[in-house]
This record gives sequence, C-alpha cells and structure tokens, in this order.
Amino acid sequence: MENMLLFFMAALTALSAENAIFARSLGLSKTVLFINRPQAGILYGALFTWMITVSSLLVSGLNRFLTGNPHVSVLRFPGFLACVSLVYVCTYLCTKQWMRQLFNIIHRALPVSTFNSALFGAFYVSAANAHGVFQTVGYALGTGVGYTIAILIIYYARKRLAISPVPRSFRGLPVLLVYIGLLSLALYGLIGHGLPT
Amino acid sequence: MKFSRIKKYRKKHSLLSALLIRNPVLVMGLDLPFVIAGAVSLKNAAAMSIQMLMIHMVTMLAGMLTCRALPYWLRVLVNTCVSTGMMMAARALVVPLFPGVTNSLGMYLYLMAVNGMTVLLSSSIDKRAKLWPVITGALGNVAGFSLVAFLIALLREYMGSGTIWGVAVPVPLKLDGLLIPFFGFILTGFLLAGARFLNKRLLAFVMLEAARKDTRYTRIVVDSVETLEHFAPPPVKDTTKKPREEP
Repeated sequence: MENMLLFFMAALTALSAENAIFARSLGLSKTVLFINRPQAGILYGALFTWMITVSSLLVSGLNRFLTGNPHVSVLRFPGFLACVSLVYVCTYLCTKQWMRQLFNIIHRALPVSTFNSALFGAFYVSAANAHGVFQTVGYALGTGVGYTIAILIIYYARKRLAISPVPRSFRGLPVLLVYIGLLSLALYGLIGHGLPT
Repeated sequence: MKFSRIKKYRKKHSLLSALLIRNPVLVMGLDLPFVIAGAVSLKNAAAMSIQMLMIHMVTMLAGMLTCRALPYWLRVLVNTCVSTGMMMAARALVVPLFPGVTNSLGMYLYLMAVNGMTVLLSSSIDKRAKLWPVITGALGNVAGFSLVAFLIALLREYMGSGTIWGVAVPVPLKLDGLLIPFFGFILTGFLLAGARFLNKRLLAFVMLEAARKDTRYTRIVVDSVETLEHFAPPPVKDTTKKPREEP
C-alpha cells in the first residue's frame, strides 16, 4: 500500500509540478513544437511514455547497483544509455517481427522519442532524489503522461496564436516560446514558489 | 523579387546566414533546453559551447560513416553512443576549466550527449554528402548555438546575478527571477523575433543596394531607326477647340 502511494505521488509530481517541458524545458524540439495533428502528438507522447516507463525498470536496478560507487558520476549516463538502448532495440525488433501494423506506425517516431533529453533527465532527477523502484517507475510514468499533455497544450496554443493579431516578427516560434514561458511561470507560482526578491 | 539575388546574398554572407537564418536554436528550435535552463551565466555558456563543439563535430563525422553502412534506427543509436563518449571526454576537459560548473549546470552537463541538434542532424546526413560541407555546416551550427547561449547568458547573469563572468559589477536593477527557466523561454522568443527583424532589414538593404547598382549601369542600346520609332511616344492629338469660321 505504501509503495502504491509512493508510486502515485511520484507520478503526480512528475506530471504537474515537475513537468519536463514547463518546469525544466527538457525534451523541447521541433518535433514537439511543430506537430501537424493532435494524433501525431499523442502517438509521439505514447511512444515516449512506453520507452521511459519500461526503461525505468532497468534504470531503478542500475541506480541501486551504483549506490555508493566512487565512479558513479562517470558510469551513470552510459548505464542509462545501455538500459534505454536495450529497450529500444527490443521494442524495434519485436514490433517489426510480431506487430507489423504497429511497427509501420511507430518506426519513424521511435528513435526521436527515445533519445531525447526529457527521458534521460527524468532518470537523473530520480537518481538525485534517491528514488526506490516504485518511485522511479512512477516518476517515469508521470513524466511520460505530463510530456504528452504538454505537447497537446503546445499544439492547441499554436493554433490559437496563429489566428491572433501578433506582430510579424513574433509570428510562429517566438510568440509560442513567450506563451510557454508564461505557462511555466504560472506553474511555478501554482506549486508554491515565489519569485526571489 | 529575384531569388537569385537572395541566394547570392546568403552565399556571400554565409557566416551571417548561419548565425541568423540557419541558426539551429532560433530557427529550428533545437537545443532549447540548454539555452533556456542552462545559460544562466557566461561560464555555463562557455562550458556548454566547448562541450557542443566536441560532441557535435565528432558525432557529425561519425554520422558520415554510419549513414553509408547502417539503417536509420541503428544509426541514431550508434551516433548517440559516440556523442556519449565525446560528452564524457568533454566533461573531463570542462570541469577543471570551470570549477563549479557541475553545480550550476547539473544534469544538463550530461544531457548534452542527447542534444537534439546532434542527434537529429547526425542521423539525417545524406549518403552523398561531402566532407567539407558537413564540417562547415557543423561549425556553423555550433557557432549559432554558442552565439545564442552567450547572449542569453550575458543578459541573465548581468541582470539576474549582478555579475559578469563571476565578477560583481554595478547593475541598476537586479532580479533573481531572471535565472528561472520561464525567463529563458521569454528571452529566447524575443531574441528570435529580433533575429528575424534584423535579417529582413539586412536583406532589404542588400536588395536595395543591388537594385541601385543595376539602375546606375543599365544602358539601352538602339540598333535601328525602326526600333527608335517603335519606342517613340505616340503623337499627341490636338484637343483644343478651334473657333468656328464665319461664312
């Protein structure tokens, strides 16, 4: 019961207060900023959620193994990469072999949704907070879901900004970044932080 | 508008084009996390630029090899492994150079290995690409990233911390809130808008200069009288009212 509570608390934290995009600007790329349809955003987010959640099972074991190791700062990132690469190769080959229809849909988005800063950043945050297995997996799941929600918010924001009277130089990416900055500030205030005086 | 002139202008001012028009951060939205959250001081920007130079150059060269031999999905994996190796080497160089960068950059120092610009561009190299354009393109990308990182870091360090390169300087207004990521988003948006405005003005200036040069040196050569008559203005009809003659 306690483990389930830790799982859900970590997931909720990662989804809202420590959202990868709005709180840490992780995983921002042209793929996220310029998606054409919400279905593409959901697909990308779902793939990312799958990769980060399954990799977190291996990463939690790796974190336990590296605890107390004097070379942890050197070994950590290569260890994360090894875990993620294993899941990536298995996902690619298994879908190609046994789920051909799914493979045709996901094979283009899989590399980009796997090797990005949001995925590895979530693992670093978990490691820095010395999360256990349940917390690591919960945090990973929350990061994935929060990332997907953020992609959709950015998509709909872009649509609304496109029909708003915006100065010519600000149209497109500039005003979108200003919008995301204001959302980030709102979230920062919502979780109880105050601007330093 | 003559697009050939625009191409000529961009070729002539290739460095300016790389910094403004083809800037990977401002135009393509790559590597935004490092600029928004990491660039809070000039030392951070310098550390990230050195890391980016090493990681991006070597990974692009590795990408030239992998693009000929491996399918796309495997290419991304191998290139990321190469960039991870280079990240560890760059970290070993940067940490002694800038003590304290580990605390200020934190995990962003390690996340440079999976920066979007390197992962995306190294895996998208064409099989027929030549070495020199790839190298110059990669250098241009790093220059563009460094320019944006230094500009943002200078503003945020000066107005947020009241220092420049760690040295305290008098500042009229110090706002600690500028060091929080939300301001990085807003500042990057404004910087991008400024770059677009500057690029349009520069392009307009160059086009105007070229048009003036054309007008000064244009000659019309007349080859025959018939041609001259062809271009002669038509005779003007006399429309004034003549007084009626009295019988």
